[in-house]
Amino acid sequence: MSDARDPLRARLALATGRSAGRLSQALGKGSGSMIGGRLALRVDPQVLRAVAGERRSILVTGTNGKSTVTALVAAAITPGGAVVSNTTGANMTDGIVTALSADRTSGLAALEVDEVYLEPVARGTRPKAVVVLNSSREYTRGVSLKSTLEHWRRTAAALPDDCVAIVNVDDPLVSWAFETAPHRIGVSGGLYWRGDALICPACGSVQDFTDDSWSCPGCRRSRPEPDWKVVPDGDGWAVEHAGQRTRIEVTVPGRTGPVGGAFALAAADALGVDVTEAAERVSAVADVDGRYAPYRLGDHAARLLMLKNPAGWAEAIDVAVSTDRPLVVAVDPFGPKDTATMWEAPFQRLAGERVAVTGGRTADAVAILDAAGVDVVEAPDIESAVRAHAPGEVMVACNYPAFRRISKQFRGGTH
Amino acid sequence: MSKALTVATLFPLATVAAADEANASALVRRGAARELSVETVTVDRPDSFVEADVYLVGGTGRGGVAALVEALTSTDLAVRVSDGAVLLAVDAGLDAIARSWVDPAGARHQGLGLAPVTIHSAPEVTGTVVTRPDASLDLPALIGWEANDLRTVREDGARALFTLEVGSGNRTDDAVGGTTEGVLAGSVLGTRLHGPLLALNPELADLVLARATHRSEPWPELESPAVERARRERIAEVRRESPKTDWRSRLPVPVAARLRG
Repeated sequence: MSDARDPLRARLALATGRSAGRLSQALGKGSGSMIGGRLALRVDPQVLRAVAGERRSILVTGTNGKSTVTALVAAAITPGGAVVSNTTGANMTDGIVTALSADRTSGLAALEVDEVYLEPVARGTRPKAVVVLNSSREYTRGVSLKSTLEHWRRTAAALPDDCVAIVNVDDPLVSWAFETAPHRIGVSGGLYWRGDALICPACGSVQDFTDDSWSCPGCRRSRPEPDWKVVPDGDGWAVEHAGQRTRIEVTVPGRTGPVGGAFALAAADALGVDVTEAAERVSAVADVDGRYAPYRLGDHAARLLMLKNPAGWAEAIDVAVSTDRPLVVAVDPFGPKDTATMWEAPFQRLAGERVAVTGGRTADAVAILDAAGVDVVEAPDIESAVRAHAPGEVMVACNYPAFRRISKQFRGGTH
Repeated sequence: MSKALTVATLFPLATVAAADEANASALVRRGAARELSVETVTVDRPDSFVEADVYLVGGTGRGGVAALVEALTSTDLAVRVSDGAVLLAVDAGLDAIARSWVDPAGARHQGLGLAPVTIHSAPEVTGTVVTRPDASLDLPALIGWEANDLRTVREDGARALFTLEVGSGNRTDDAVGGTTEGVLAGSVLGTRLHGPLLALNPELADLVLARATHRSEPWPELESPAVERARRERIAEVRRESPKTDWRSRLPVPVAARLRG
């Protein structure tokens, strides 16, 4: 939608984008969520500023968990008013333009941002908060972690004065990159993947890690004291902030859920939303894009996790170990290097444990798990893989195509 | 464990990740099966450089090569290699140890000169690679990946590391016939094949371990059924998808050359 207050060029850009998006949908080429925004940006590079307008935006970025935390943030801030979000996962500038131009009235925005697009999106939306989850290397694009961190550092230094960076202080790379932000709030929930953070990004020294903190012997940087901290609370989790403890129930398995919840509460607080109310909204999120709701299979319940890099697999392994749930690994073909990065995941943490494997890349998964000393069983399909374990809840760790296939199959039965 | 080896992964954060860091743990596993205790170290700044028996340098993309050359130059890598330490240089790592390489803008730079190759620009190729068996190195057909826009020219008569059944390799014309890939010069193994190359191909891990321990006799037979099956399936898939290859190209080079007359 255009708005009469938009500059002429932005209106023209949005009209072009809208018709292209409709055309793309009509031709069955896709959801139209990118092409419209892409053309609008071609006509007017400033169009993001026009569609963002005066809304109060929260950006969510990081390597892993962006979609999930964006959904939790969107829920947490609803007490503050109507929220627009790029729920399709189109998280580059064009996708964000499309999402914001489709809803010009909501006063709040929760936007998932690809880590490499943070600078243009921050410039265009002038956010009230930027949530930064974690940082590890991506294998699918030609950008080094170092250049992403430098990009973040530049972006942080140019954030508006009334913007807070809500960062994972357990991640030394994220902590360093956002040192230059005008305001920084720390969230602590643990770091599963230290492989990319062993070396201080500031001085190149090898960092000292303890179970829950880090420090650099070279430049004396250390983990900033967190403002929001995830703590065990009975059989579940709570978030501690300013001497107050807020219980949080999230369906997302393992620590991922409460950690995402802590970021969402911090974001809500930054917009002036009451934290208790925000926690209720976060706890009401049952599912994100079919990812977390458990699927019933007789006496079993299967929870799906979708993983795309060693850090993601490390987190899935951590969920299985820390919640003492059995694991199924489901991997399907997805290009030549579909299983290559799994060789770097710490499957040895499951050595001696039984893991069931299924999918089109079973042979690769068996080789990887066997090398890690895991007791591997092969299953012809997902149901038998889940049933290879004792009745109860089972974690199903999938690569992208296996996740699409299995969630569709599971949903097919109930919807 | 009769013998202890140190494997050092050099400056993994300087370049774009290519999923080749599993090579170090592959050497640990294969070493254990060969009764060698293998210790791994990651070196990420010049002053933490260690004396090791095997050095791994890898990653992809040309953006980080200059930084890699700079970091490697201020270490004793050249001395260690001339003393016989094994160096496995993958993709961006191969650029860095070449005599010269080209940056993304096309400008030519000096490399470390540890491998007798020069690197030139070429059209981009990506895909899965299958090597031909090589009796001289005791290697069966291996699997790997290539993704680069480079031509790797060997000099001083240095031999290639592999010949390929499927894949583009060095993209230089070789008189022997067959597509060559990488370079093998003394204790330096250079290749474009990134990803968990040694994990997927334990016989190549054996080759690295043999060179690091100065072993000349062949290793005893050692099966790794799970990895072999994964490789067999992957090779079969590549052959199905690349109709260019015929049965002759699967034979070792000398045999194939004789058949061609």
